[in-house]
Amino acid sequence: MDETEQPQDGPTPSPPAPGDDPFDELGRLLLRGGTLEEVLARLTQLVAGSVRGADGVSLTVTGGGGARTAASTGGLAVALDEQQYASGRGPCLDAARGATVVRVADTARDADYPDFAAAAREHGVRSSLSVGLPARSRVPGALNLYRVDAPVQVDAEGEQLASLFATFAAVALVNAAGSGAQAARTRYLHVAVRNRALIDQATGIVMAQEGCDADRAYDRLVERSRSADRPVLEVAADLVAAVDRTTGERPD
Amino acid sequence: MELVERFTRSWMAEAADDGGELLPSVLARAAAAVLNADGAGLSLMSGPGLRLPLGASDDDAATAERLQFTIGEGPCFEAFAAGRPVTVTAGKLQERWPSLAPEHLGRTPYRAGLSVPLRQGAERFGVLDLYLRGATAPEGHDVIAAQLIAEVVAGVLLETIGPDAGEGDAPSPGSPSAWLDSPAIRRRRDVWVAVGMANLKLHLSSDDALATLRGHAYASGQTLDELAREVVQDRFDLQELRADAEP
Repeated sequence: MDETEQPQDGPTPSPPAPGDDPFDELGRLLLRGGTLEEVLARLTQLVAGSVRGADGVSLTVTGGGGARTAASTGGLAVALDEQQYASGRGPCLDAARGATVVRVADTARDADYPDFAAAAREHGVRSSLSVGLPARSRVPGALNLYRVDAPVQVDAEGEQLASLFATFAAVALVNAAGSGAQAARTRYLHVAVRNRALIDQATGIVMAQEGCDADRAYDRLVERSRSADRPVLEVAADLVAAVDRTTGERPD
Repeated sequence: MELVERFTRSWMAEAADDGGELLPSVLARAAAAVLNADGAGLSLMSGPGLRLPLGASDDDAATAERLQFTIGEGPCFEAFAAGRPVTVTAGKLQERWPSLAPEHLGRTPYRAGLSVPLRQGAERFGVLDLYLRGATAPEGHDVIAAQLIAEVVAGVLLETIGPDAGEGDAPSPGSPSAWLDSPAIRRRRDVWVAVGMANLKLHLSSDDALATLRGHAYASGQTLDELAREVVQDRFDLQELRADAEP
């Protein structure tokens, strides 16, 4: 790695340790339970440290509520991303949409994205490369590399490396989406335990109120919920809350 | 990873050829087997008073869980509250949980154990309890192995819940609507019914009602589940607890 190729934007990222594969480092970070933000932030730093000409690096995610920058090496990349989001047009958006590679070889001559090219020139950026995340991962997005000094984009080897990083980013995003589902299931279990307890306790209160058995008490709860046109759970929660109010605080 | 593979093969083989035993008990038995424990239990927790026995490798493990829930304290509660594994020996049990120790040592064959929280990320939702007949608590590598298995167990349970848990089709033994309605859980739910009855009949707040029921169960040598069942079936008159309940 050429030491002169340090990015000029944001805090200087530590390059991969000598002899260390940046993908190994990312894998270890994932295994250690690093958060998605940590993994993606480190990923953009490693791209900047490993790909020649990657002076500003960002990861655009376009799923859900519009495009946003999930991670970046700093203000330069963020500014150029946001110019594209605001105008609704730009190489990173096209790369994300088509899951393809979009190059802007020279911002001084580019005809495809005149607004982006103008904004890039203002920031001193001469070329860019956006690598769309693989379509099969179903997370639309792009890894963006902005180059300051030269009108010629990163070389083929760099582009291949950038594609590998893009794939890794997609894997991390997909995994995080999966763990979001797991978190929802954990909440479901908590709710399942609490709701059962509430309905059971309310059943007991009705049993004591009416001197009936559990089945009859549950039926009474359902009747109350029907006539009040409210869910059984709410009726139960109100009963328990009322009892806890009238029995007051513990004396201790 | 060899451990995880053995565990996965073990529970899947048992789940496949079993006549409908509920998934959590299958997981508990497989966990005990690969971790060289003599018993194991899985519980779902959402607070000190909210614990459902999900499954146990055998009756002794189920008893150990009920005793802890009766007393309301023990390694399982501590593992959940602290979010880390808790090892236990007979000595530590006597020192740390003097009410639980004679019950546990007298009514189960277990002398040592290890409780590991079930978690998803930082969120805890239950505990894997491992029980040993020998005197020595697991340590070092064995604790790490247990944490690894707890992680896999948590993943399997959460995976089974699926996106549309709790609604729809008839429950299959592997589905959460079946394992959240097991006989052990139905028994445990009598505790909350009994708490509701005690709320009203003894004019006690929920916390005090639970504490009073726990105290009486302990004093009368019953599990809380047993006492609750008697209360709910009107075979025990809560008025008898009036004296216990006086502040």
